[in-house]
Amino acid sequence: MKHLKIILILANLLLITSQLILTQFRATDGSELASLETELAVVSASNRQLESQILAASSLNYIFQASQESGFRSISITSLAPLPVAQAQP
Amino acid sequence: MTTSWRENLIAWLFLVWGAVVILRLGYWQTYKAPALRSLAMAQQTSSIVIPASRGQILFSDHFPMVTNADNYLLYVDPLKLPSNLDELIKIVDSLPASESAKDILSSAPSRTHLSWLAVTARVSPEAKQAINNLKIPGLGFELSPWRSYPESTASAYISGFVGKNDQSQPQGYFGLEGFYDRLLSGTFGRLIQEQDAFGLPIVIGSRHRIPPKDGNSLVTSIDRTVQFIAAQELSAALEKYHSPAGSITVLESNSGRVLAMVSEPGYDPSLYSQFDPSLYKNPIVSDSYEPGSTFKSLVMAAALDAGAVTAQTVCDNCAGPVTIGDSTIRSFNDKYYPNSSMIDVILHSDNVGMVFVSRKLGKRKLLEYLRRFGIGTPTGIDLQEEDVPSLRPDDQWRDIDWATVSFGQGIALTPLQMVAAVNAIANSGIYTPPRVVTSILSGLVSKPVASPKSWRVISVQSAAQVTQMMVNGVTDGEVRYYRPPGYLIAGKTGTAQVPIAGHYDPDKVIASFVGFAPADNPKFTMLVTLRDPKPSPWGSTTAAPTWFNVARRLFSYYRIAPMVN
Repeated sequence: MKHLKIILILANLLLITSQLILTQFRATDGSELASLETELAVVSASNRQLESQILAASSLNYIFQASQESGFRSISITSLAPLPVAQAQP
Repeated sequence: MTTSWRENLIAWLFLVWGAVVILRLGYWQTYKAPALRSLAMAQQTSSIVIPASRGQILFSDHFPMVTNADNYLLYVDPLKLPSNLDELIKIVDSLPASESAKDILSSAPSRTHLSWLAVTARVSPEAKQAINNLKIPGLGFELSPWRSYPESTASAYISGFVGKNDQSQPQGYFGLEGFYDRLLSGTFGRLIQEQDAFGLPIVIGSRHRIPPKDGNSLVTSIDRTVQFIAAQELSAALEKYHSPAGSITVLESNSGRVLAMVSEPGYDPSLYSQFDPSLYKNPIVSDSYEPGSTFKSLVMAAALDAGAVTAQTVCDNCAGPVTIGDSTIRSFNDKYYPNSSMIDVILHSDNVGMVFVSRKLGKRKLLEYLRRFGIGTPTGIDLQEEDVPSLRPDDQWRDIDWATVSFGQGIALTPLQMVAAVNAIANSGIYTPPRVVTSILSGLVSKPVASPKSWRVISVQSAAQVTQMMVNGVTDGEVRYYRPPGYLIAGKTGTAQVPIAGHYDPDKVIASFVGFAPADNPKFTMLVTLRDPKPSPWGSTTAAPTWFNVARRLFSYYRIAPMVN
């Protein structure tokens, strides 16, 4: 019975100590979590901004303007009628 | 031992005081407990809304037609603003809706009774950075997601726009945004967690996260290259022919799916509030017009299919004008072709010849075929604002109405109805209702949209016969000088007068050309309309060349080679 009491007291002390240590270690984690979330939001916004820039640069309007400025010309189809073949005389 | 009255008094005082304390504790612990608990919850927990993205609208190649972009709402605290805002106004001047923003900024210093005043919700991340660099006190930003249109605004009539409803929540209006609003809208999520006195999260505290559900994305049949070509050629045509308005609609011949749909004048869906609301509705699906001679191809197809005429039937009343009651029907140029065949009637776009055809066909059969071609009923296209005129009741068709409808006057329909009806001829006589969305994306899962039910309008043989007549009209008719050589194109011109207050306005016309190509294996069906083109009002010299210009580029795009002869 005496041993049980001692074990229970020690267990309680251990739990209280653990809680104190855990609380001490985790006390500033909220600040770190908040800063990580802010950083995540900034990176996400930056990603979306880059995505918008990529879309703008790969739009047909942009490509067409860039091609015109670079001297490209629109394709044109030329239909050529076959030349008449000379008939061999017997 | 007896107690003195003083001791008794003190004992009673303690007793009463103890009772008061117990009662007061009971009051706080039981009666006021729920209110205190919620106060504590409000102080110790934070509830953050996790925004959900609205679904994207994609072209057929999955490139975004409409996507989401970050924008910021710029607000000011008038009490903290400095007097000199010149630098800020310079930046604001380059923003969309800059005029109203500048007005608000100019009036801000005098509105000191306010502590929060919104200036503009259209500040890009770059502009936000530039404004932040000015380090002006009294300015702030809030994230304000916005719809972005990477391929410019040419598809505005297809996409519609997102505005706010009466509860200030985003809502789609017109086009796909309006039709598929519930599918595109997401559901906001929420993060509820314990926080400390500084508002920072307590990591070992409780944390409950309700994830957001993003909206579904739509994959459309709109080919962005075809859409781009159509937009470019329409702008060029409006400029060349001094036309105030026009449209180009391109359908995929065998499926009826919309490949391109452009109309001008248009509007910018990201700045919709700065445009006249009358521009919001897509005129291709909501504005009706009298189709004029383009309609002859449908009536001729009906007559051929019903066996009322054959390609070789001779018109025995084509020698001159036809009088019906007190009206006289003439050809457009007052030239007449006695004893012409049905091929010639289409070739010369002969009004008198078409009256002959409609009489041969009969009123009942004509109306039956018109209904099968989809005239008088909505196509069911997945754009919110479709609005079509109904056919007048069968018993209200006078002889003159029956005659004029044969050449496309006295009947109204939308451009989409017209091109969808002609597409039935291109598709071997089968009508396929036009649609825009082909599949719905939910995350990575793609769910195809079921095709609408098709039906046969005319036989394969009748479709082939009227196709041959339309090819003949392009090869030998007035438009032959403009057509791309080496390609088999079936088409029909139209120059419709515009009815105003019970009569036709002599100065207003809608020039059009409808057709499909290659005629022997159609890839696309297209309708071009131009309002009041100048100097020539005729469809054959304005809409038809525009049609051929688009077709030339589509032949290149689809790698369709010209035939040798």
